Amino acid sequence: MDSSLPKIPKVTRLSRIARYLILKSILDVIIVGVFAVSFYYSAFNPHFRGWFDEAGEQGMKGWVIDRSQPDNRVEVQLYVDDHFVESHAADYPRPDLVTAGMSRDERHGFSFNAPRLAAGEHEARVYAVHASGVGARRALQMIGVPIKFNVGR
Amino acid sequence: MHAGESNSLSFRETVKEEKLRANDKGEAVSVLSDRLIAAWEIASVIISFMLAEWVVRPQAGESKLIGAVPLSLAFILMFLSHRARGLTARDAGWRLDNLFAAVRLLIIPTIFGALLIILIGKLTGGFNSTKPRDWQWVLWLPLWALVQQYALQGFINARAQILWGRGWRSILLVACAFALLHLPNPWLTLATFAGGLIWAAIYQRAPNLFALALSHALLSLLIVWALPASILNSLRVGFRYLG
Repeated sequence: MDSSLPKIPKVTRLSRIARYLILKSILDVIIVGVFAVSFYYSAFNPHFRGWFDEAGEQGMKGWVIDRSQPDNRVEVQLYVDDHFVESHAADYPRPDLVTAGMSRDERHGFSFNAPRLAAGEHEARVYAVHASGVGARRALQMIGVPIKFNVGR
Repeated sequence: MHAGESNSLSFRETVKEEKLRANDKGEAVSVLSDRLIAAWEIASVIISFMLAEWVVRPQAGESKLIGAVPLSLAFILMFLSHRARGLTARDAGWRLDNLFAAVRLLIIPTIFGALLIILIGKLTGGFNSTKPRDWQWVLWLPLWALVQQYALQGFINARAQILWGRGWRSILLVACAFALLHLPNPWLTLATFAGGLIWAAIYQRAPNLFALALSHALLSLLIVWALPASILNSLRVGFRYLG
């Protein structure tokens, strides 16, 4: 193989290949970075704004807006004690959102009836649903914080 | 005067010896650098293929062009590396003068592999695939096999020989690299490891990419035809196999 090599010193040839390898490694890292960021951005919507206001025997209430598509109604799912309870679109009227300048229209609230629960302490969580990958993926993003509540006998 | 002459000779000898030592050291450093660079080149190309399979393709969905971005970088690196090393296309195995020698070496392992695939196909209730009737796929297969053999043998095997010389260690490295790129599909990983061993060993004896691509394409066609879809999972590899 060496007989066909041009008259370039071996060290120069190797340092040239090393430069190519360094450049390619940098491009590989950029590719991974771009794909990681774009995946995160598409799989998890960074534009959701909302809050889980209250949870109790009377029901669970809150609001959520997708600020990238403020006219759309976000699908929300209620979980109590880590068990799925119900899912619907957040289209309950919340006039306070318009007053606070959070939205142009008021239909971004959610309201769930409380499920039948045994007496004792329970924890409720509400998640906004975000579909991506042409419907191939559905990610749940928690709205606000989990709320603990008590059910009496 | 005798003493002076003696001193002068010994000085010259010392200088000569030092120069030889320096040369040996330089050569040793160069050999070491050559092996390090070859190892880095192998790793870099494998990383590109793995990026395509595990990072880019799953995210790109059906867009194969986006998946080709890291592969293009790998092929650009291979081309530039060949040029920098002053190697010709013939050195990589793009040649016809040893075609029959390579075919002769490949006939028995390819027939044996084909019989084994047919046997497994019979035992597992295969031979149901309609894929071999897709003439576009059948025409594309030898080209894809040629591209894979170029990357695997023309580049990885050639660099593995710089790293460890001809022999079982470089052959094993090529087979492991080929199998690694077909994870986590268990049957394809096994098949490519076996194929990688045989093709790498034959490339080291008769470096001809056309003959290897022919064997690769024939066995791939037979695998797709003979083995049931439940085993092959549509030849999916990388992250897409899991989805």
